Amino acid sequence: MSLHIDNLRVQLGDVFVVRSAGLEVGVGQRVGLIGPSGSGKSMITKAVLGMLPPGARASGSIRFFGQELLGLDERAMADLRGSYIGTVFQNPGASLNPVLTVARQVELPLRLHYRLSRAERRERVADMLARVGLTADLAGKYPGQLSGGQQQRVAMATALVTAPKLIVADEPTTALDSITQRQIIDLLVRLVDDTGASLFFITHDFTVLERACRYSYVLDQGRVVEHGPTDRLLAAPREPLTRRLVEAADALTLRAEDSGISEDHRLRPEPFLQPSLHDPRGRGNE
Amino acid sequence: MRFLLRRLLLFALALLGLSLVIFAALRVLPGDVATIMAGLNSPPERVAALRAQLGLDRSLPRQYADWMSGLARGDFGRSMLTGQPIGAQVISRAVITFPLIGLGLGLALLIGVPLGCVSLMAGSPRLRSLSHVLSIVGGSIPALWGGLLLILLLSRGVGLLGILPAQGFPDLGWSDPARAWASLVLPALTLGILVGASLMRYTRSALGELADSGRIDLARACGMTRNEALVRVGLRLVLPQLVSVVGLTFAEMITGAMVVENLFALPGLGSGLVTDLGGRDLIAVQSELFMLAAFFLAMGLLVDLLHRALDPRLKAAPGSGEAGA
Amino acid sequence: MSMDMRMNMHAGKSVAGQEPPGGESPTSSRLRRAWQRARFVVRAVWAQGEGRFAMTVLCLWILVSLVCLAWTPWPLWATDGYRVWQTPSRAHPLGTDGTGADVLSWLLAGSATNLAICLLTVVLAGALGSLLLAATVSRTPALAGSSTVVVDALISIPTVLIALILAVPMGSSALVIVLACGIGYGLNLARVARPAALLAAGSDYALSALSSGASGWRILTRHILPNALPAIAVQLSLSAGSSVLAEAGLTYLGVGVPSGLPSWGHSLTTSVRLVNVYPLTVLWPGLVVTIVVVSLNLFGDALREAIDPASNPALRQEAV
Repeated sequence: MSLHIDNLRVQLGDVFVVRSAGLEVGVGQRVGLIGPSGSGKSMITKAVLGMLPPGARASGSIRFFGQELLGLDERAMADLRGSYIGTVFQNPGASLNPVLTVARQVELPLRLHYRLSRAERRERVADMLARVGLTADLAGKYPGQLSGGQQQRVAMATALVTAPKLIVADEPTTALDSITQRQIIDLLVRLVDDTGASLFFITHDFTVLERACRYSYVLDQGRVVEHGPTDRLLAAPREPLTRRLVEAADALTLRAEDSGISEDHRLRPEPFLQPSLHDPRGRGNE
Repeated sequence: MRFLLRRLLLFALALLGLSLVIFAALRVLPGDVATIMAGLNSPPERVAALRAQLGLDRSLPRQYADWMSGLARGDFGRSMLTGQPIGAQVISRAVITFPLIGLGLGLALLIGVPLGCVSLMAGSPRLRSLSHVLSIVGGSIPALWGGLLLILLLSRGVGLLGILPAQGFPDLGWSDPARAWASLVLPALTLGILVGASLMRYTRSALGELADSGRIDLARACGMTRNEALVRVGLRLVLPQLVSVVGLTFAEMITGAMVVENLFALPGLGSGLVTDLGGRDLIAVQSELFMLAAFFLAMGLLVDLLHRALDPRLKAAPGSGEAGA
Repeated sequence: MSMDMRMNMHAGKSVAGQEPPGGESPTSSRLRRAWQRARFVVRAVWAQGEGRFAMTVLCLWILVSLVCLAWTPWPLWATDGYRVWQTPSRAHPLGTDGTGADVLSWLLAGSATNLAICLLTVVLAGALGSLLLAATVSRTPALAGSSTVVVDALISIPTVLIALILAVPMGSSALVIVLACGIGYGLNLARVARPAALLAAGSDYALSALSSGASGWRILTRHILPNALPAIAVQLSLSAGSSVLAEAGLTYLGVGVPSGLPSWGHSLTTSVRLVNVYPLTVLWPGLVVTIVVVSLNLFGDALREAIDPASNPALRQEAV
């Protein structure tokens, strides 16, 4: 179990933004969290990363490969971030450091966690850039000179350069146009599957979720109201919120313009799928 | 490049405007310049002689042109009080004032920025509110009082710990750098505390905003702790605005510098200006005011250019890379 | 902005001249709302610890000033050639100055002078700043552009320089301080409040009010300035503090309050000479100035919290 959240509660001032949320991400699995804005998705992400705003209080349990994360001090969390847990944020324009070139941005996790020679770092960065589909000449450019899609690829390269075991993707495609969205999701899925990492994908859009995750949790006002294989949620939503989100997805173009993209990757069996509570036979949705 | 030209034009225009204002101010007097300079009880012949000597009998535009062309040539006229060429006088005074301001600014940065970081990053809330109080009090102390307190504390003769000279600038001037700098320490420290308080408040609020807005999140996600991210990434990101704020504090500093020069008996530009005003050496005052104004406009220009050079958003125009994902 | 104003806007009616329910005239209802809002703000400032301290000190200041207009421990003109530069005693708790006058009385009387200078400066800076702000958001590009340039160019000129320039024709007087500070802080205000004003001027509300026929002046006074008011108010309170400090410095330099009038700058100048007689009397005038300026700054901080509708729930119903 790469990530196991149990009875998580997050309090901001007097308000509980997350009330008793629970979910699991098995090793090598791609699991999604969907909910409308304000449902507390970001807070869960922040709680996992140990980046809650000052003044927020969290209780419950967040276990990462068995290790309890809640209560770890900042130094210990910082050691996990960037080496074992990689993060892709929503708005690459705002999160990428504008004074660092692409190459220096991508090599930052390597510098923070490992002792490598400059040549080794350069090699790994070049390799990573190629894998996210960026040409080598972009290595010396600044984020301000790149398009949104290119920036997000840089962000992904940064998140994956240390081959972390868990990727947390917090609405990584929300700030992009629909064509780029598809490309980025497909890329992310491919990279995650190739390394056998787990993916924890947060979004408010079912069409995105469908493309990225096999299993999903639906969050409403800080509580998990429904969960199941993504395809089942789309075909037969039980909760009213889920139904609303599905209807919203149907109206979006991402689904409608699906022509020309192979259906394969959504049903491709996942290489390192382990049996888990919500998928006892370990075979995914067939 | 266009920005540079625009900014230089702005500088030149402001300088010109200011010269006109200064010129006008010295002509809008209850009475005539020459009379005031000679003294109200002087015999009329003396006043007339002075008037002719200083060219005050010519038309106003002519006087302005004379003044401006003199400045361009480096001829600032002669001081009525001392008989010395004003240009040389200004330089000998500037040689004290500029290092004073430089040292004061350096101390302000050394005090303000780290304390600002501490006030945001310190673990205990008590330390945080203590620094908050400190920054407010530091910015509320009148320069005069601050200087007096430092004298009472640290100067030889009057002070508790007599380690630094109380007043005056050594006659040898900069040829004995150690003593020269020693006499600048207390005045510069007064300025440093005053301006440092502003810088401290600014650093704290800018870094705080940065932390809240999530701009250091990626750095943290790569493996830095919050404090590391604030120092390694945050400071660099707020640097351009910090530079602008430093520029704004120059105005605070010159006020403080003038007071401090008088208090510590340093013969700099500030105290020289006050002396000349008191002695009604209006021709000298005219050029000295202009010099000070030019200095400040030049600082403003420098700060703007530095800000622009450091601002990462202007590193490259968006869209100059390839389009598409 | 009340519900009826919002509804009228959407109905395309002009913003001006509509009657709120109850038949009250628009002006008096606006005044009443402004008064209510002011009371909320003051209450919110008082609710904060620092706000309470600040307001207490400021009220004390006003009180002492009023009292000293009528009475001081020793009359200000009571000089005594035999008792110059005396160390503190029961008769003269802070000693006497070079003319034998009581230092404490002069310090107390100075409150009135400084209060007057402070108020006048704030009024002047507010008026000038608002005028420049209005010019900056003007729809005439020439006016907007040139006023922005003027403000940015002149803002780097230190107040003391303006004071020195003014002192040449005017001699040293309190008016020099008021004018120099008023101009300097007014320019500062125009620059600091510019983002808020531009935001309000470009907002959907302003644009649709324009298109439904409201005059620019109306939008300026009813929408733009009220929205910039928080930034303006905070900046003015900080400027008040700076004016007290400026008076101290300028009087010491000889271009401020002339030596015949009491002021805190005068008391500080006196204390410089007392350093040799009795070092500890140096403490008092500076302490008074510091505490007052700290209070003005704290008031500004507390005001910033109180005026922001996000942190002051009572203001939310009234938020424009």
